[in-house]
Amino acid sequence: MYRLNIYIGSGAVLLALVGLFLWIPQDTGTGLIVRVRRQVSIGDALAPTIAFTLMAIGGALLLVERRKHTSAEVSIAPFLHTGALVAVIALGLLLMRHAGPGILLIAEGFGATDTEYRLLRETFPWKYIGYFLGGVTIIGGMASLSAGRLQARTVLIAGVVTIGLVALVDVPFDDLLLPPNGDY
Amino acid sequence: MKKFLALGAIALGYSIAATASQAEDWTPPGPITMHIAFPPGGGSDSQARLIAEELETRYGWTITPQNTPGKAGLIMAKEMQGAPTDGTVFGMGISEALDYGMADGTAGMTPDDVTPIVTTTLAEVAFVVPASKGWKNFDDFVAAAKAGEPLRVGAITPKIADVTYLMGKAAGIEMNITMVQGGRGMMNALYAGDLDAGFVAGAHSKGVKAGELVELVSGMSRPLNLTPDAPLLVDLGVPYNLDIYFMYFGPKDMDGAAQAKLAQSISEIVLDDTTKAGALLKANFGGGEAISGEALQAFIDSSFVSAKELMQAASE
Amino acid sequence: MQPLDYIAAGIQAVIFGPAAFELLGVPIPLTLVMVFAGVVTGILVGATPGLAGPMAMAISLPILISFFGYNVEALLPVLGFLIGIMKGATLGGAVPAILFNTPGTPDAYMTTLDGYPLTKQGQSRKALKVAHLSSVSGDTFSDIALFVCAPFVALMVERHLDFPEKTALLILSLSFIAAVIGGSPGKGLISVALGLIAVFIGGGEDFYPRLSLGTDALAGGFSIMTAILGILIVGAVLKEYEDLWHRSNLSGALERIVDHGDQRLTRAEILRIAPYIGQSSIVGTIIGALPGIGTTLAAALGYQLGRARHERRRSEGAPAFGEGVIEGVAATEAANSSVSGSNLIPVLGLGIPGNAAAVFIILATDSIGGFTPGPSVFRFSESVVNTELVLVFGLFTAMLFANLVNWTFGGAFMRAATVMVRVPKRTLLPVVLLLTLTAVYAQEPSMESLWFTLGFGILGYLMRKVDMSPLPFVIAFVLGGSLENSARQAFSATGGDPYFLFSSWISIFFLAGSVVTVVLALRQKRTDSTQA
Repeated sequence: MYRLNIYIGSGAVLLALVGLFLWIPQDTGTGLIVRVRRQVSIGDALAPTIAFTLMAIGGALLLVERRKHTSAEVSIAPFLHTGALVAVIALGLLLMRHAGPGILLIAEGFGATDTEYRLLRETFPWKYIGYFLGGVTIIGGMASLSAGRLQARTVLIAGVVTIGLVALVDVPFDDLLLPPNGDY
Repeated sequence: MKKFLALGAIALGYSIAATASQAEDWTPPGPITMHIAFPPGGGSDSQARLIAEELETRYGWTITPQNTPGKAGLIMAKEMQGAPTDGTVFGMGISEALDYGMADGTAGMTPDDVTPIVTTTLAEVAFVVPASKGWKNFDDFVAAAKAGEPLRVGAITPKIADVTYLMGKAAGIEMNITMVQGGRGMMNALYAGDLDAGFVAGAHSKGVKAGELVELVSGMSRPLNLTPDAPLLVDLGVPYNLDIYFMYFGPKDMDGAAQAKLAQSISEIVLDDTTKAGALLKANFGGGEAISGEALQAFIDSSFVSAKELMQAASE
Repeated sequence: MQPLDYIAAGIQAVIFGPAAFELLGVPIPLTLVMVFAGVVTGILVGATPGLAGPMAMAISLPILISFFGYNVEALLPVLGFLIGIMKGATLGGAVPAILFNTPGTPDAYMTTLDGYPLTKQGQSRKALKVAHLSSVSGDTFSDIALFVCAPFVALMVERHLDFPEKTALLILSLSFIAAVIGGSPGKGLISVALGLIAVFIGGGEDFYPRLSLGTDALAGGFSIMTAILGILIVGAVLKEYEDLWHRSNLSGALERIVDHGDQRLTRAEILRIAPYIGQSSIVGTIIGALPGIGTTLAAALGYQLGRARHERRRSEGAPAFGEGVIEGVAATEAANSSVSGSNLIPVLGLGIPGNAAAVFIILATDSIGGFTPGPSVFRFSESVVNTELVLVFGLFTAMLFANLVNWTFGGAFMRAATVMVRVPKRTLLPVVLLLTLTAVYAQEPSMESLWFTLGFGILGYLMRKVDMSPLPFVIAFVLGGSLENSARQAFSATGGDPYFLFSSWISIFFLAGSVVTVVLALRQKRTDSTQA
């Protein structure tokens, strides 16, 4: 933990400095205080300035806190595993977003009627394509990754669970939209 | 219906006559997304949702309401940029987003970047004080302000803050103007004694009827419903008003037939007291007020100009 | 209306509110049905290792809101369900702790110490009965404390605190949370700062949405749902999944539980554990009322005090704490359950959430509207009806009903919830993740919000990875907006006095308090590490 605290502490201080001297001055509409209607008011930069200052103090405290000398080393392998999980989730989200419109595009290529996904987003099966493929990818992918092997059974369970979620969320609730149908 | 103003009547008649034939045969080509420029919950949000519900039952359209709040409606106006123009995307907000919100140029938009559809009602804007203060009219308020410490006055939008400031300036008094969060925040602060006064847009009616709050000034260009004797801003030497309409607008270059059909069908709903939406407007604002077509465009254009002047005047 | 009328109106709002269905011609109130469903869900979720009450609250909230709509009538059924989960989960958490030595919720860890030995002695059903009795007693005690204290806290605040003092009070709460949670004030402060920065993005009063890097995506800011569900749930799922990977495949061949001997809880035994329940209930209630320190600490403290008491009285040769005594189970379960009522004191009295469960109560009222937790709720106005106050008493009624459900059916559900232990985590966690994303999308239908949720999830994972508690982040995110607003209001209302925070003794006291908590925590940390 000893080294780790130093890393976090200096990281926090560094981030705070970037926030205080680059981000806030460049990216806020009003300064620390602002004069409007002949009255001094708090500007938009004050609150974030305080937040970044707190971060700097927190980082500094972490650097001066008496450290426990332990040999606990943070190994890189778990990070890689979690990185792979995140990649699977991201892939699932991308499928969710683009699978429906993509398949429609392909269908049009084969001579189906010319229309837009936007207008079909509340009709079966279009409204479920993205969610189903994305959901199966996320559940099946994460479970397989964790088990270290891809099994037909896992994919089957993922499919059944995703259909279950559709039944749970979409069927009873009229105004509830499944991804990506609210983006249109 | 009783406060259905001549202006609105003419406008409505005009727009229906001009585009009736076009409007008749418009149906949305797909499901509709209706943005709401308010956070979920409050009265403005329910107003929009009830109108959507009624449109669905009357015409069989599919409408999904979606809250897109922020910056007094500007965030929703931005959402309209680049949205499909076939009538499947539009939203409800307040007219202040189009006039004052776009007046200083930071937003990078002008009212021409959206298509106004129809108003639903005029917000009942009043300058309100707690009855416990003992101030019966605006002169009492001014006298109190001159006698003691500067009074604390709340404002829920920047435009209201500007008008409040000019009103104080005209009366020759000092006020500490404080921004508060929405009508609800204003009510809480007034009841708790944290604030002495402030312009409120309808949230105060219950308190006024119960005798807990007193209306001192009408913020609108017409007298108040509950306190018709209260002076108008113009009587106090302020050449601006707070006519804030709840209104629908869509993306720029919206399909004319869609615009006409929506204007017509929404005005029928808000002017009908037997619908849930109409009843809500009746209870909170005294009734619906549907302005559309050229009259609405003219109102937006003129208030955009006056908002620029207001901003200038308040920064002097 | 008089205070008593308000109480009556609150009870009526529950009983004569909208009906869910009719049973033999008698309308069954929707709120009560929802509370019942919540308690059952809570017990099941609590009994499932890897799931916790707040997770279930988070996922069900957007779905419930979409179902009941955004109006005041939705508040009691939705809050009833959430509170049911909150109360059921602490009860359910004891089940796997006692039967399989795996705590269902983190606060049930201490329950394993005596609960599991009892199971090995063939006394599992008795242990579950003790857990049930203690948990529900503690909970009820805590609720009564809430009913009595919340109005007084609120009235005191309303009478004595102006804008500057309210600002100072928020600062005190945040520094308290930063100092207390996670054992390191440095990390606590960083966590608070991250939460504040996240909530300040896109906000502000100027027309330009600050810190948005000129993008439209950030102009609206991060919604509370994406931030909180991302940090709390997605972060937890990623971390849990990593731990799962560490342990490789720990296939769940569970032991068979064989009970023998009398499983009844005798009157003498109840009298024996009663003082432990009482002592732990008081400890848990006090801890629950302070923001930030949660059920886990309450359970630990309740257990330690219980052990001290037991040691003083133990006869030679009798089993000690840790060897399977019912007093041990009673002491922890009463303590961790008695947190749940009193943690609503700061929520209802001040609008300040003290733990994750309370955050979701605030989130629910925030999303539905018509009810803003905080001091103004308790205005006993006579001429007009203060609907918020009626709702509070309705909420109290729902809480009492939830306790009733726990008293009557809780025991049976606990036994039934045993099956949940067999649900494989490897499949369950991705399902929770997908359900979370679906719930976020239901509330905020845009893919952007899902990406933000994932981003916050990664942040939450990293924070857990370096032992930085995500709770200060969450609470700072929830309170950041009010903190800035009240500071702005205090500044403007005092006519631009830069020293507004030092304008009264009360606010100076609060500020001094916040410095003192951080300094004390820092010194505590130093002594700890020199000893270690």
